[in-house]
Amino acid sequence: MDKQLDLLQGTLDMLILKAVSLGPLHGYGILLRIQQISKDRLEIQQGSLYPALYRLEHQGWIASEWGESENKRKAKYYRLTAAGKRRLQAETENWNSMADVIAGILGTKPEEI
Amino acid sequence: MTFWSRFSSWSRTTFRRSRMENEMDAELRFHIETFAEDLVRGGVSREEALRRARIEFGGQERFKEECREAVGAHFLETFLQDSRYGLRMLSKNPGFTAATVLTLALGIASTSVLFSILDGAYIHFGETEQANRVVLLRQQFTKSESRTSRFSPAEYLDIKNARDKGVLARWYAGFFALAHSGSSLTEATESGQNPEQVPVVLATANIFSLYGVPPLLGRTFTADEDRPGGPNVAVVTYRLWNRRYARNPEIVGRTIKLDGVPYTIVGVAPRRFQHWGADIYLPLALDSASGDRSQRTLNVAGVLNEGRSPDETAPPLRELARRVEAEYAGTNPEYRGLVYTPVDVRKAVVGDLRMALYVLMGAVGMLLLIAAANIASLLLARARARAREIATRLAMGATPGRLARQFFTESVVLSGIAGTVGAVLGIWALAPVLALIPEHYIGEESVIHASLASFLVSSGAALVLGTGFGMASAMFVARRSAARKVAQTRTRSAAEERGGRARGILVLSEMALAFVVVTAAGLMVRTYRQITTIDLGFQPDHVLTMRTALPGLRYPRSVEVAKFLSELLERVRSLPGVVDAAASSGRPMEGGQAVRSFSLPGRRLDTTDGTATARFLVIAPSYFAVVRTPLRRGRFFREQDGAEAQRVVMVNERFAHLYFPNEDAVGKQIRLENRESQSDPGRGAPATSVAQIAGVVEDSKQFAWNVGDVLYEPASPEIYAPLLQQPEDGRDIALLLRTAAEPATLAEAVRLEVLRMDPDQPVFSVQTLRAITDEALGPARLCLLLLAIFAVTSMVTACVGLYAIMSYEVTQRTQEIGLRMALGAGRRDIVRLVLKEGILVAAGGLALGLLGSLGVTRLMSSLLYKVSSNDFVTLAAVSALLSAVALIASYVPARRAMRVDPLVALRYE
Repeated sequence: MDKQLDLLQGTLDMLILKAVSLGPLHGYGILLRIQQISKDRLEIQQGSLYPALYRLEHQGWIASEWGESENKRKAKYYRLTAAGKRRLQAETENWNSMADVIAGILGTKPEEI
Repeated sequence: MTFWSRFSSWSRTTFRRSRMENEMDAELRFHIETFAEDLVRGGVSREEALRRARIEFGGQERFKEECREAVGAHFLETFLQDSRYGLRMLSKNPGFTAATVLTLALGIASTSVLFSILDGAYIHFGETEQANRVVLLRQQFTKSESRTSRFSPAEYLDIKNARDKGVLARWYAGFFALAHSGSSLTEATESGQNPEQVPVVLATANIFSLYGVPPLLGRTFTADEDRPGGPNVAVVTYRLWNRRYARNPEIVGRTIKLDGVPYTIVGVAPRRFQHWGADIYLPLALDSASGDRSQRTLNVAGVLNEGRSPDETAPPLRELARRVEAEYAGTNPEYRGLVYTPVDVRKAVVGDLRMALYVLMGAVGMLLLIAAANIASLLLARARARAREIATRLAMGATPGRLARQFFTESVVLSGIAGTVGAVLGIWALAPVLALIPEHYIGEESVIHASLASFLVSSGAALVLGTGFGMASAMFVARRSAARKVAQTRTRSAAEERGGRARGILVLSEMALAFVVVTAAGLMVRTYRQITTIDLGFQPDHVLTMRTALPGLRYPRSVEVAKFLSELLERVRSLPGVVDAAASSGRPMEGGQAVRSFSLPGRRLDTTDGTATARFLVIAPSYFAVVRTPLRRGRFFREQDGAEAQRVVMVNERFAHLYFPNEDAVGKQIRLENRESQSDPGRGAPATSVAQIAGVVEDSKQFAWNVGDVLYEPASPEIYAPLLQQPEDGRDIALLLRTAAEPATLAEAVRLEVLRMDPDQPVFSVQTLRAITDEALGPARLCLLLLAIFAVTSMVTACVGLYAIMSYEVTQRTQEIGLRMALGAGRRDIVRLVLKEGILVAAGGLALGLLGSLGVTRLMSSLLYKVSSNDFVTLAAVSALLSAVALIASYVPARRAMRVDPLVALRYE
């Protein structure tokens, strides 16, 4: 397994939005999905997920409702709202261009300056 | 993100707080348990799995708090937290907190009580909208310097006809006339006539329509019934209908007897129509062609058009008066310089009570000011005392804004408590305060209750005060902490110096304010004591009084009246417990007494027609013995001063002084003039007679609508005549009994004695003389009593505040005192140092306060009675009291500071 990476500031929201964009999930499910997609390369403090979820819901990007989980318990499921979908798209574009710029800067060789 | 989602999320969290908490718990539990189940599947024991799940999850409480913050529950949470903290801080200082809350609550309660009274009695005086626009007219005969609110029939018709011709139609919707009277009401049935004396108002038929009051039952008079020789119809008011007829709806059409004359009840006036104090309305039945310009018995009032004020109608009324003068001055010389003036009835009724209410409002304002100063110093003192706590919190990352909010919340909590206590107190105190005010001072139709507006006013005051002080101390803290960051030292920084100066100013102004308030308080208390021990000129204790009236139909001749009265007095005197009995046409301190014109044979009175008026009482010889008014000169009346004997009168000292200055009034002659008004048709006016002054009695206090007049004006001139020589005036008679026992216990026995002589004879207005006196002086007493209560409260509040702020000032110097003592200063030096500074500030405050109070007390000099506004005793006492408070406030904490180990003191902050 590769070494785990600390989460970059402000990226958790984006990951959550991405995770629930693939279908409604409860909090634990979101955690599992992020770990699954990242192949366990990201270190996320489990509890810190929830303030982020509450914040995103408060901002109207995700919505929640109670449902039954696969282990027959009551669980709170989150899904992406239309506003959240737009937000995810904007964040993704923003991230990609930012990553390009950063990568470009970091990849610059001395003779190119 | 939409506004709506934000709002709905916020409202969810605010209003479904517990549900959110439960859901949050469930959600986190689900996470941890599901995680643990996964671990169990991986081969870990259940217990171990739960433990690991919890650890990996992290601090649940912290995340929950972050969740709450994320959805905006933060504000409420902080507020509650701050409130709890504030309450804790307040309860750590119970004495001062209680004092502050109490003073503020008292201020709020008094504001709301006074506002309720003012609102009910003045602002919302009348019940119908028109009732608020009723204006009473008064005519002034400027040449003879007399004025009256009574009009003769022809004079009323002048005004009414002018209005009908459109002269005043722009201002007035109409005019009506009425006359007050009283009648013995009996039922026209055989069984149980149930006699009772009732107030009757004779009014023009348009009074009901002008007031906009439809009858509750039946109908009101028609214009056709309101003419001479019209049918005997009556409208009873709600009050009588309720009291005497138990709201029997079948009363309409029934016949009643007034002074033995049958009348048919045609309708019942509703409850809100209680103006003019009548139980029964009868048609005035004026002759529309009447040329009577001498018998002035009518009140004339108009109803203004909407949006007109009484004052703006003064010029057109004056114009009308000029026209009347031009037309009739030839036949009626008194019309020269005739002026009609409008009187706002609301002002006339509330009168000097309104003035007193304003003064009381001023007193309340002052109390609020004191309370405000106290709270300000409390919060400021606390802010300073918590300097270390504040520094610590700032160091740990709290923002000045957050701290300011903390302080703000605390003061809101403080004023919230005070506001609640004050509102409850205000509602609770309204009834007892109201009970102290005689009815006629408020106006019978006024409904006074704790108004919503008064609640808003008082809670508004609380909130404004709380917010104000909260902001002030918050700003102080913020500034201070900002300065602290620069200074970073424990020695006195610039900010602290500024704080010290601010405190010095606070102490100084507190002292000055306290001086003004306490001086005002002292003067009010002294005035109150003067009034309660006022020399009335008679002794009201142990005197029972009652009235009866001998109607002309049953006792047509004066002789019969005289016979009835002397027999009644004879019978009453023999009752056990009665020391002496007397009859008179009026009782001391009673309203509505007769006035008589007189002239002095052989002398010229300086009036246009050579006559003057004086109060006129007809009395039995024993009258002065019963009320115990001392004789100054001459003699009292005797039984021998009968109908056949030489006519005699007695006068009061004021009369003697006014008309016989520098000579002996006894033996001089007075001509009692024919009465020009209020003579009852059919009974004949008493003839003009010349009487000799037999004696002069001491002045007694007399009733006046304006209580101020009772206290401050000299007595009006009075003439007393023997009952046997003026029996006509004895038809409406008062009995006065001096008793050995408690006077009220004899009431029933006397009433029975009257009924034994004449079973139809109503006995009414049974009151002790003390009660009559109290009622007349009631408003003045009430205002003074309220003022005295406020004054004492303000005094205590001011002293508490002064003590608190000054002692705090000294406590703050514990460190300095420790340092001085460590360096070898003796106790005497310390005491001298502390007291010197205390005395300096106190002296400054005293000087300022003295200046201030000289100005303020001059304003209240009209309220004082037999006390000068710069009364030396009061000023000296106040100075002594406040100086003592200042000294104790400096000395006590200084002593405490000296007892502290210097090492501890040095560390004290």
